[in-house]
Amino acid sequence: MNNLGKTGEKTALKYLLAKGYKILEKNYRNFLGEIDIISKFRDDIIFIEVKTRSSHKYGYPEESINLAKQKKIIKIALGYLSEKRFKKNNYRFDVILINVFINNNIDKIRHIENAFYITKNNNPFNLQQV
Amino acid sequence: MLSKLYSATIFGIDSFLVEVEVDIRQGLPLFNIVGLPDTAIQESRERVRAAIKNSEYEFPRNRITVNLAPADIKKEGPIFDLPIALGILAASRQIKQDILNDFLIIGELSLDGTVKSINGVLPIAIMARDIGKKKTIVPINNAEEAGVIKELEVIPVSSLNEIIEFLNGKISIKPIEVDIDEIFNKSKINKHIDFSEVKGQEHAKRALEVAAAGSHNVIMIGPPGSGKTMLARRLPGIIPSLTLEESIEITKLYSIANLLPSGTPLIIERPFRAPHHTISNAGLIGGGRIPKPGEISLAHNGVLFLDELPEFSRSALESLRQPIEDEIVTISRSLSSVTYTASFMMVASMNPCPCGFYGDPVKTCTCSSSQIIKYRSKISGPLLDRIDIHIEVPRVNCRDVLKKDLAESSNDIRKRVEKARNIQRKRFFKENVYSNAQMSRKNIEKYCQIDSNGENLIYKAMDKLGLSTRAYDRILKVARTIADLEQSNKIEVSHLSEAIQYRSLDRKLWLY
Repeated sequence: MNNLGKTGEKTALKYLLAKGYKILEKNYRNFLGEIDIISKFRDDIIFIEVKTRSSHKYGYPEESINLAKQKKIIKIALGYLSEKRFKKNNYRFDVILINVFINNNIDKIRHIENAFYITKNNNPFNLQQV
Repeated sequence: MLSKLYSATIFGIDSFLVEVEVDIRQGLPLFNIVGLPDTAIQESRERVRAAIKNSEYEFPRNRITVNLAPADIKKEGPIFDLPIALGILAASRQIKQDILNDFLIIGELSLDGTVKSINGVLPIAIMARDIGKKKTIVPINNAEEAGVIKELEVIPVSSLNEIIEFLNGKISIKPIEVDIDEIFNKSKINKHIDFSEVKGQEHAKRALEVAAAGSHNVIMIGPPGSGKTMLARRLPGIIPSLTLEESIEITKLYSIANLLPSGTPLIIERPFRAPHHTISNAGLIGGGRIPKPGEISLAHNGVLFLDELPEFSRSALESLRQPIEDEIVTISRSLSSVTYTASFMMVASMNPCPCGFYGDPVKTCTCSSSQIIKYRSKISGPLLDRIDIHIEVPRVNCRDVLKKDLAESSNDIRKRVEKARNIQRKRFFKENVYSNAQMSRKNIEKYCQIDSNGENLIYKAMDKLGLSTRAYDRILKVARTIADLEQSNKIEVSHLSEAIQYRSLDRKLWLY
């Protein structure tokens, strides 16, 4: 099982490398959870969530990245930034959406840059905008 | 990917142009509306999303921001559904942007993409004409209302699909054409309840004729069942019919208050409003958190009938004083302050005492004198002062009621009234006055001159009947109207004496 997600993440990595992104972490995990890909492009740190779907029967994949999910990703990301002492880099949150046919062939890749940013709604620490 | 189109919002009785800007950016799906929208507009997000999807177009899976400019005016109502939907389709390149700028677009959407009717279309159409917009897109059920404004090209739409195909040039929609003359002719065929049905009460009928001719306020006093309400209901039928300007003024108010019957582009008959006596202040003069016009505004250019005047709450009656004088009413609330027109003719009716039979020749009154005084004192002097004509409507003789022959019809009376009104219109051509009742002190001095015989009579009346100086002005105004009815330039003694006897409530003797 879970081949679909693996295929999607592999595809996303290939796509990012082709675009000239540097991959810092794959499936970075700390005690809060996991971020699919952390990469670097120019001086920006980019946290990427990959969503793979084989049908839209249960809604569009981007709909699954709701406020709670955003909050979680932000929390992990801020932990990562302080752990690795990235203090001066800008960072952003991207989402890569991948459509897959039933036989695991890639249909479509959609890369949303700056998919979300920290607002008062999804700020896990409820601070001023970081 | 930005698109911009024009819509409108209502504020008071006027309308403002609103620019609807739609921006679509990369990002997770998000749909935000900014620019001081109220709850109905926030909810329009769901209607727009469903309507676009169900019309087989694509709702963009991106970050959508809608701005309603100017951003400092509060906007309310579902009026922006259609412009927001079209803005989103234009920003996502599903329809052409350039053609949209020519139109002013209003309309509510239902989930299946049908365009529903909205309030306040006429004020918006007037605003569109005034700022030089040539074309509007309005819901099909409101199209005739907007079509009254001749200079506008009004495109009626029934569904989102239809308007998209129209904008993309696939189909053509014929602009609506409204024949105003035809609408007005319809009103003539429509038969009023007629004065000929009122048997007897010749005195009261004459007084109402005078009131209609000079737009004077009237109070009728009489025992129950004497025909006060019957007379009042027939009053609109003898006031000259509405002009187009008057009709538009009224329709604007009804359109905002959502009282315009469907299929009626214009109100063509004079309004007759008879609010129940339990009405609140806000219901009478207008109000609410977001102000709405009250009964006095809905009676604009028509008749406001207050049946059983002493039963109305004191504060409601006192709140009438200022609108009666100024013919407008300004409602100030924390959110906004709006001014509605309220030029109405007040007709009130009351019983002479709580049991209703004080002064009746047949039935005896059972009230104590203190009860009567208490009942009468509910109507304050300042309010009574603003009523020009007091009519006593006594019990009708049953022989009069059983008579077969009809009394004079409303049509005949109206012809006389119209003549008198024409005289007034010519007289006040240069003044900001339309009827005798509106004359100022200066006007009275100029137009209501009386000879020495008349002066003698009025001085005697003031002494004998205990009339106040304010009643003096009222008498002159009413005498002027009576003279106009007889097409006489001069106010004769006979006119004066008739006017004097319309002041029965001022007479000390009558009261106590």
